[in-house]
Amino acid sequence: MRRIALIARREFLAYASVPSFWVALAMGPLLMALAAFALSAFGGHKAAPRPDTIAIEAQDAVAAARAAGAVAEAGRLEHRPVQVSLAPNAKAATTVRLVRTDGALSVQVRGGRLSDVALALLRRDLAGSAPTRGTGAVTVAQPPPAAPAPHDYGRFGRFSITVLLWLVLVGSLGMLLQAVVRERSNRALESLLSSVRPIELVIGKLIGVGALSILVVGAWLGGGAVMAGMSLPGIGGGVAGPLFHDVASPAYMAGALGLFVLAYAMYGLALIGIGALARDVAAAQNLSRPVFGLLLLVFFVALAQVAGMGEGTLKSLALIPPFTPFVLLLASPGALDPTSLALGLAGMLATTAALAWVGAQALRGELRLKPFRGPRGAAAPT
Amino acid sequence: MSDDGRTPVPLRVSRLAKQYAGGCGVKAIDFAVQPGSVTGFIGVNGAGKSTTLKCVMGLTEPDAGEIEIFGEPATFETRQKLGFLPEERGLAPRDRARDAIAFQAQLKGLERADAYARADGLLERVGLGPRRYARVGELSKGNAQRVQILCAIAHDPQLLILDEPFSGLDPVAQAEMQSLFDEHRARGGSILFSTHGMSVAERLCDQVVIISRGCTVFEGPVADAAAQAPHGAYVTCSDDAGLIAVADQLGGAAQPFPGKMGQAMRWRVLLPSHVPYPALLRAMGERQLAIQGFEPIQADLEGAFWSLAAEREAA
Repeated sequence: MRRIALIARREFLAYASVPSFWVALAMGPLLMALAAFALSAFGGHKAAPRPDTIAIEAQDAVAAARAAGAVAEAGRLEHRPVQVSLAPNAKAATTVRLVRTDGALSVQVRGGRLSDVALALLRRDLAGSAPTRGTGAVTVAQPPPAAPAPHDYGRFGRFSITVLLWLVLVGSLGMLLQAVVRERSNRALESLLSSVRPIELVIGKLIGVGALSILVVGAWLGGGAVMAGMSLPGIGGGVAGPLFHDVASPAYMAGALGLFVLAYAMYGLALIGIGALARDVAAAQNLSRPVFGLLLLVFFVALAQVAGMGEGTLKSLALIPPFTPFVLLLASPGALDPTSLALGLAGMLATTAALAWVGAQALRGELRLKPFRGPRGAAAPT
Repeated sequence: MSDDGRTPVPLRVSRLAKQYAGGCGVKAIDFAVQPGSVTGFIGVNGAGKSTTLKCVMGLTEPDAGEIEIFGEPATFETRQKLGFLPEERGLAPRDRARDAIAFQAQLKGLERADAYARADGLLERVGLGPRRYARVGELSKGNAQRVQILCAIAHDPQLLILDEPFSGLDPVAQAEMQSLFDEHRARGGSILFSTHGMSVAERLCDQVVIISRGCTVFEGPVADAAAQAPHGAYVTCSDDAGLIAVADQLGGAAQPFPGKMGQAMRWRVLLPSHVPYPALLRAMGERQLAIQGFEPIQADLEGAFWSLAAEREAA
């Protein structure tokens, strides 16, 4: 553990001791803050809200006047403009009809709904109106609340988080590849491997660069949280509310972070193996192209998932380790059954363990690529 | 156990074999490093020196053979008693000199404060104290190599294994290296270093291990190795057949030797001990052979090396 910690610390400091890293790190929250500012500014230029139009229909003029007063007072208390008419109005969004039956007064609300404050004031004022004074409680009936729209707006929020983590992952993998190739090109690998086990070197590098990645993810998600805190209350009734409702929960964030760590470990170990096989930067870049190509494919799959992928395809992709973390990040709650979830995670863990072994063997030099012979028979360095 | 039967042998290699896909490697390497000794590991390029040392350090897996370190089978733990300077030299250019040394010392188990104290002391020792905070990439090649050597000895290993430690060092740095060897021995440590420089080995070593084509051809004291040097001369002349006949006439033998002089073949002519090499010159003169080169074989390690290597070749 001590040697792993030393390798990880050295790897972390190799990047964190460079000022440009911190400048790049600050860019994420800065961009988030700019986005928050833009959203707030956009929200601040909303048109003045249109007044609620409420028609009061009653044969009893006194009761009608009291009802109108109660509704208007509720509007004032709730800072909502309300336009009340005491005559039948076909254009009114809400109609309040006062019906007297055997001396008792009942309120029937149609069209829209009255707020709880308005209902309380109606009960209070109508209960004291002549000639119903002292005749008992006022009964109120209004339509049930409307059911929410069936659209899964949350997928766009999940997609945003997935893209963010994908970007950080791709950047981190590049750093990890560099970290391994650097040892080879500096010719320091043999010196290191005489003091540490290959697997310790693999895990140490993975943790060191991983810590940097978590720092970046933290900065970006932290920026996102700040943005959410600043702008969502103001525009909660707009589009952003449903978009970010799912991902704003601590449970989702913890899950996303866990999936990021698993994805980083799996892809990172593959990159370490490739870096160990490569003799120099050019060879490493060539060898790593398929991995980055795969990540690009994963990105397009994520796009397809946002566009509405079939449930069967979703379940199948969740079982293919390179796709698993991103499919799980994007899946709406309950979209995958526990068995698919468990199988997907188990596949990822098994792949990660196998890649750790391959990476250690490659670092030790027990795995070697045969030199590529070009058309003139010259052996290219591997 | 060592020759005295009490101290465990720092390193014993038996029947070591390792073949690479390309065909190089080692076939039968046997030797032991005695406690407190400086052992030279000698062989031409490609003889298998680095492969053997990599196997000892666990950097590559041998196909066969046994490696014992201080009387125990070689494992990662037993290898922690060793200091290693690999053939591939290199440090992270951004690391500061003292950080690089302290990092290696910490990997070998020293506490952070001790590791830095040790690094500073070693840098002072080789005159790099004022440059302890310099980045390795800013140091000259020779100074960077000194730092690398200090990395190998930072944890004060009981056995120091150095692969070609003198290559790339100027005479001053070589002298410093020798004094570091002396200090290490004075503390009771042992040293095994590979080289193809016979004069260096002759000057520094108590023992030598000579390998040729992946096999050990000699193991023992330097003086014993030098005694193996044959008697004769390296000769280049215009008439190869005539030279072979002269060698036969004197009871010796002529063997082709690597390295031509112009278009002419270079020969190693071995003579019986009672025939002085001037007799060879006389016999060649009598045959009217045009002598282009004549160099008596020295009774030294180099002479012994070539003789032993040639014997192995013939076998």
